[in-house]
Amino acid sequence: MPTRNILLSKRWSERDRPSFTVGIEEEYLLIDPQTRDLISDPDPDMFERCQEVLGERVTHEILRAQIEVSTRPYSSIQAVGQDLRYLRRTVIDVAREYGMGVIAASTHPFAQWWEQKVSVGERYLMLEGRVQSLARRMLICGMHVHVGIENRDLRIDLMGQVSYFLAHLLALSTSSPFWGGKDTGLKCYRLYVGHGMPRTRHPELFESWSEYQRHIEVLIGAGVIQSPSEVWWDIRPSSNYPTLEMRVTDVCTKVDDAIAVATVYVCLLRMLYRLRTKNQKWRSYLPFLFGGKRMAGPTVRLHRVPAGLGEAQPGPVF
Amino acid sequence: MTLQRPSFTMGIEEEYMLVDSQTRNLVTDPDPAMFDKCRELLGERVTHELLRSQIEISTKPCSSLSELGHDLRRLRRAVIDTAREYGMLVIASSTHPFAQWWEQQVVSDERYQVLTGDMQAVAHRLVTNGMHVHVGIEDPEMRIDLMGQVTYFMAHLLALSTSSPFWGGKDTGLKSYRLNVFHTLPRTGLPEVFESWSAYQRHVDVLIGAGIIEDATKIWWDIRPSARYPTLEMRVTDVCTKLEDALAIAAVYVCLLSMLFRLRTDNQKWRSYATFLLEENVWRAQRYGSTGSLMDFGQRRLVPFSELVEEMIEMLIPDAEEMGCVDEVQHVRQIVMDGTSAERQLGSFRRALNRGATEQEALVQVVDMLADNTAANLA
Repeated sequence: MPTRNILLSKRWSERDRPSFTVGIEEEYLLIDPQTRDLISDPDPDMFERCQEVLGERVTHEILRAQIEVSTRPYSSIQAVGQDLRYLRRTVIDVAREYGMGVIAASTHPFAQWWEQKVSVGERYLMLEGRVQSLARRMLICGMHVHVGIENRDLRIDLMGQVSYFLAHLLALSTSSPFWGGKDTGLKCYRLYVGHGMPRTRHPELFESWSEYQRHIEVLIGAGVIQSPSEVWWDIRPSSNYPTLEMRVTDVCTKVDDAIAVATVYVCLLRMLYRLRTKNQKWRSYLPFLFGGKRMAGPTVRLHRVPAGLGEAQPGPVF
Repeated sequence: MTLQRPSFTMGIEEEYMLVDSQTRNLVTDPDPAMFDKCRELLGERVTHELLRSQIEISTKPCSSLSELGHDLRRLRRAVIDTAREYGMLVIASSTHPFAQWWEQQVVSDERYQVLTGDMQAVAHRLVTNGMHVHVGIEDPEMRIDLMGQVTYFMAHLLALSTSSPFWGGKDTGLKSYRLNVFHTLPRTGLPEVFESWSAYQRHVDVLIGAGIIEDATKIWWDIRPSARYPTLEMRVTDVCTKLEDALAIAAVYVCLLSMLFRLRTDNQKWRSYATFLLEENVWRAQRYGSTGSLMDFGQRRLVPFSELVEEMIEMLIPDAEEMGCVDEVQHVRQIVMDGTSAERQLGSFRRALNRGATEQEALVQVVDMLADNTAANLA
């Protein structure tokens, strides 16, 4: 009997062993080195110069004060780390040429969201049409880590299990204690803002890829969304790549922290895959318990902070 | 043992805001004598809420809609009359049109101090009011079973109740911005589906055992088994500005439960759908109120809310007849025709702007409309 088990798991692992390639996406904020405030309307030449050097690996985000980079997929952490360092360095150097600073933080300490300008594009306009005032408030940056899992059923299976650890990954990454100049008392205020959008937070637990697909198609078929890219769960099967995309984390200010979080994430997936080859799995708990649904709450606060919001400033705070 | 029909007794809790009759802004620090006077008149039926500018009332448990309406009228009237003596207006809406949340003061009660200590900025932003409807279901297993099924309709109840389109003086583009503010608290949203009362209890005990919450009152789902009464407490709704709207929603809620009980006695049940899909409907109700469409998951398409309301009335008529609340259930048709409070607030705001009012003047007119509608038909 033991021999048979080993054979079965070997067959599984040979055919469907995921590549576990890793890619990292980071969003940064562009600031004025004098005032340290966000640059609501940066010189478009800066972005074009970045694109000359980095090509498609640098993109716009919702707000003009944001810039996004994505590494290529790599099969080693060292390689993805090297690429991420290169991307960060390039954006920082180019920004400096144009008199701007770059910060990797999920909220700006004191910028006000309603003063920002949006990158006018079809995608943004559609978003604003659907979610109204919520879209303008998205002055937040995240880090997304893609891990290659080619078999789709395995992708869904591991998504359900690794959800347990989203709180842990978030706790390691928090970089957004301030909002509009106020100490919010939370370590990650970004998620609190982001989770105001529909189709966010923890994913549903699906039995199979086809079950996942069927649910997405209900929304697409009814015209509620146009593509799975409009599902913004904290972890999701990517709609562009054969990857499982972890999106819960704040962007890490230090590049070494980002690489550590990505490493933990890919190792968690590998550990879960290893369990599977041994006929085991991570125990399931209801999202209600592991807080996956509402992680902006106390689960992200590693230390208690004193109450009080300090002096209030007038302004349209949504 | 035969299946016992639950008592289906009903109780409503409503939260109101106290407004200065001159500025129409929230009264951040109301005269405590006002609350004491309410207490003298209403006893335990009136309580503080998180913020000093809020006041909450709860009816006694009633066995008919007419008794419930009578009690709710009495409570609203007493609070409004007392507030007037102290130079304040009362508005039943889930957000104030232009008040700023950081100017509000938290009630100095231990429970609320703990909440703000725990939740920080998230709690300070809760300048929102809700309406909760309790329905008596004595058997805990039945309570959990019906909770899992009636969750399907939370979107429909919310769509009928929306009263919070403004936040800090801005049109948010949503009909219920309150739920957006509230749902960022942990332990909110639609509940998990539990197989049994003991499964529910076991999960709650995990959080209590770990010291994360003290008791089940800290679970703020859109619908939950009450921690204090043998009731199923529906909490998804905005507070209705018009009392008739509140009663209509309570009537629909109790009739939905009666309908689900009826299905059960016929060996049937409401079909379950993934929370992910049901939440999409809650979002649509938040965004569009009664003027939009919701997914009909059986048909897999968006159906205009006005059509869904007709279907719902037809489906609930046998229960409404049994519970003696046919008029109240049919009133939801009127809500769709006249618009929810949110839709009427936006209408009033836009009309005032078109007449040349400034935004602030227009918002003041919205407050006046809210105060008038809150006090209407209480005799």
